[in-house]
Amino acid sequence: MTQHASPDLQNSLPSSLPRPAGELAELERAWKPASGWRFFSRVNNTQIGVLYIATALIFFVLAGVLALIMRTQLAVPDNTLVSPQLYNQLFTMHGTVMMFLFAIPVVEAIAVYMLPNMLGARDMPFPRLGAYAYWAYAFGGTAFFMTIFFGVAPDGGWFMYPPLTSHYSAGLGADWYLLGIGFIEISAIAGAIELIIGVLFTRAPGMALGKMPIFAWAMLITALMIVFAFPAVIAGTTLLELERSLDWPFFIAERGGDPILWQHLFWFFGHPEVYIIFLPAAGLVTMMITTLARTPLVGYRAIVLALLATGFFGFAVWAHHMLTAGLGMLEMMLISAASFAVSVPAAIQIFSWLATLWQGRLRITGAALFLLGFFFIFVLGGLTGVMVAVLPFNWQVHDTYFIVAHLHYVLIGGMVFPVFAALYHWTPLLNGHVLSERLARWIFGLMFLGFNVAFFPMHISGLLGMPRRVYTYSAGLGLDGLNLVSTIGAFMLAAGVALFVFDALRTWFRAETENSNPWQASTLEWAGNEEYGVRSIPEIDSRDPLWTRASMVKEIEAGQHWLPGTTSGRRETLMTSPRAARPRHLLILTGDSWWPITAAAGTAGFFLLLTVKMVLPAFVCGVIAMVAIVVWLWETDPTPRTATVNAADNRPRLRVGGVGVQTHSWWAMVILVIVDATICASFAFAHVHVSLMSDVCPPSGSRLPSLWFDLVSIAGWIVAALAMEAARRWEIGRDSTLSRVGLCAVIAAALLSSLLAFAFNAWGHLDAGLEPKANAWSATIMTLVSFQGLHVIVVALMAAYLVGRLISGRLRPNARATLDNTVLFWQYTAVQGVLTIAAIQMLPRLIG
Amino acid sequence: MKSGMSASATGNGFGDGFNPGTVRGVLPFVIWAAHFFLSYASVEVACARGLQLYRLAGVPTISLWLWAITALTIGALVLLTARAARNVSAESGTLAGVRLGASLMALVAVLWSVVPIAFAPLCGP
Repeated sequence: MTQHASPDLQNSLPSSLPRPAGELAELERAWKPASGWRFFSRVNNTQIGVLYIATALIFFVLAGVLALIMRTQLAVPDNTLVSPQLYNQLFTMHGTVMMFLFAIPVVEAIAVYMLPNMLGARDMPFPRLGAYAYWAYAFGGTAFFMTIFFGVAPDGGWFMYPPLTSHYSAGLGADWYLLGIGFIEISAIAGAIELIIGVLFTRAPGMALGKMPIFAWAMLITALMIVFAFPAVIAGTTLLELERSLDWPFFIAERGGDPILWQHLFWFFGHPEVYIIFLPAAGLVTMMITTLARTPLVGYRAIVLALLATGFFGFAVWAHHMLTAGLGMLEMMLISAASFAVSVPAAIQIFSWLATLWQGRLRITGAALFLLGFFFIFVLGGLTGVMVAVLPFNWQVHDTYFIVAHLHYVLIGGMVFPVFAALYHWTPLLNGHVLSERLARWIFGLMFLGFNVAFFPMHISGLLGMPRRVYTYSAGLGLDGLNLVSTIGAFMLAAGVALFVFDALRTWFRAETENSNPWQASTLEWAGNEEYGVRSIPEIDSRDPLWTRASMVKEIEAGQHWLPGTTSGRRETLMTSPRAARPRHLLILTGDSWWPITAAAGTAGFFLLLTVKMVLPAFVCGVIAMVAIVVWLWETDPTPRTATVNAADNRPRLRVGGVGVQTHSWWAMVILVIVDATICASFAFAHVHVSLMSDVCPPSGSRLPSLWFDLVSIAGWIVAALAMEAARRWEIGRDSTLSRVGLCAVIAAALLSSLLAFAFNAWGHLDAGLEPKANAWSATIMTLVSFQGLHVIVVALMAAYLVGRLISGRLRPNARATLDNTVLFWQYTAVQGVLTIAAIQMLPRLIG
Repeated sequence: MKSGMSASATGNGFGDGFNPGTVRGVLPFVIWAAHFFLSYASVEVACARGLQLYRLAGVPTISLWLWAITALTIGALVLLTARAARNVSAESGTLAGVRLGASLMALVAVLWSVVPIAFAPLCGP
């Protein structure tokens, strides 16, 4: 813990003392959260983060209760406590809730709560989007969980394999899964966009990429993985729902479909998801080990490298779950090789953590106990992971309790134990109090022993041949004792969790006291955790700013760094450059609002009512959601009152707001386009896959549209893209009616051209007699065409919104994000239209 | 300006070299991923359409294709590794080290993928 600040920082802090009277009071006023019943309109990350974490933990407990019912059922052979039908619902809901409603949300929630403070930002860059993401998750998750009480919960397993979940699954259970989970995925992607932009553009001045806390690296890579992984399952769930509701046969072999297609799409999401869950936990572990060992991290670069490598390798092991599905030998061996390879970055992290512990001296706190538990359990889970990467072994243990044991060792060891450690470690940020260290020993003991007693015997049950997902087993198979022990262990684990809940509630509801950084941590989240984060945004020059500069906390609290007040009377944060974190401009943030929760309720109503086939009320909810989103957006991107502001006395003035590629919203649109393109690519993959399954392509009875239709359509998309380029270059500063009418005409031309392009494309397919129920090939084409149609509707809505802002005078040279973002999305739509047509036309010519 | 911390009111989003730096950092993994997915997809397509039956000098053309893209990938990664090694001695930053590590790791991962390509039957069960 040496002290060496850069000469620049020593010479002059960004702001001088004394600070003007009333500056702090004004900052507090700007960030004061809404009170009373307006609580639900809060959008600040501190408020939303706490709600988010609490909701995720509630789902963890609820899914745990489902597990206990299952373990009670399996405690003795031939048990009849629950029916086979209910048991199917229990294991499906347990897995689905744990994965979609606990594991992913809780890591995003911790990041939403903690990351801005850790980065020195005042809030997430899109506070209302964060609030929307949370409420969408809370409403959707609650409704989804309630299905178990009405006997309509999904029962096809958390990975929902067709054909079991398509034409063999009557009722609404699978629909709840497909629409409910699709909806929650939207929330996860919204969160990921916030996190990427937050990490890249709102770091404290001086926090270059190489000085960023490892947790920020982990969340950045995790969020990027979400962007590429989730679209595959969005596409998959869309196809399965279309098959169930419209009889489009994507997965029905008799009509040219393939159930394996679902497995590819699901696991392209499902396996990276393991790392999406693990990487944030690894980030948390790294931060805690450094603090608890009281020494800088050994191998910072190695850990960054390992996180990056995991982010890539994690995608190559999707078919690792399909090794008994009939893949070719070479494909299986490639997947097997990748499965071995992915253990290398995990090992790098483990060795780096061990070296850090070796270099320092570990304080045995509650958090440290859970970290040690994590090491033990996760390493065992990793080793069985290597075992199941061996093909012959995999074939033997596939779908047995060995896999149940392995996945719980990886997920509980790799994620739940680190999250509990994090709760112990960072609880003082909440209200200044630490959780009971005495109870921590009991809680850890119960959880660690309970976990191993519950899950270790499952390895043996699996090797003895006990299949997963059976509601009972016969006596005398050698499984009786093992299952009884597993059940006892599960209840010990639950007792530990219950004791933790008791202690957490007792601590979290205590009166607030000052956060005194009880573990003497080195990172910025400990320098202030008010609604606005830190009093002044620090200029830093090391990875451990609170260790390398002893006076840092005092300087921050005295307001001697950046933005010690509010320059506009509104909520603000600094936007910095992505690599070196140089201050770029001041971002005015949106404040508390009812619109995010209204939009979330509307979106939830749309999806949930659609699931129960209440089409009209569903569309009413959809309209409510859209209106709420439009009103909320209308208030964003305001014209700045002044061009530049003084954000720090001893530094140059900063511009207010950015333009084009400088704006956070432009980058958010880029990420959204990537998500969109990945969904489209997943649909295209489905088309290629079923085309390859067909003896001839197009299949008999189907044909391609005439080339002329498609050529006209391509021309239409090119004209639309060029028109939008002209709109982008339009001089919107000219305050004349003629100029505005001209821009409106250009946008109208782009819209007309897009409508014609789509119309010709659709006409061509109708002319060719496209019948999506006939075969999977036609169904995938109809999906691609419909997806393009959806984009045409979206660009029409965006055009209307853009024209509205233009006419109302809200589109200005320094407030033009609406125009830039619309152009970006529109041009992407045009490219997608052309590529879709090219893919459909060219594929049969290539493979015949 | 009293501090080395420059505050620009005019720079763009890439003003501090974010784009090239980041690309160089992840490029080796992108190349590895391209090789992996292209290999997998090539085998999938070839076996689905019977392309393994086409031969050139007695060797299935799909095998030649796999070896060609593997050689190209290894060549590209060797170049990137050499370049990263030169830069790491010239630069002291964190990202320079990450770039070198990424190149080496991606190279080893591609060499590891060669094992199935060399030994597994093309379209066997």
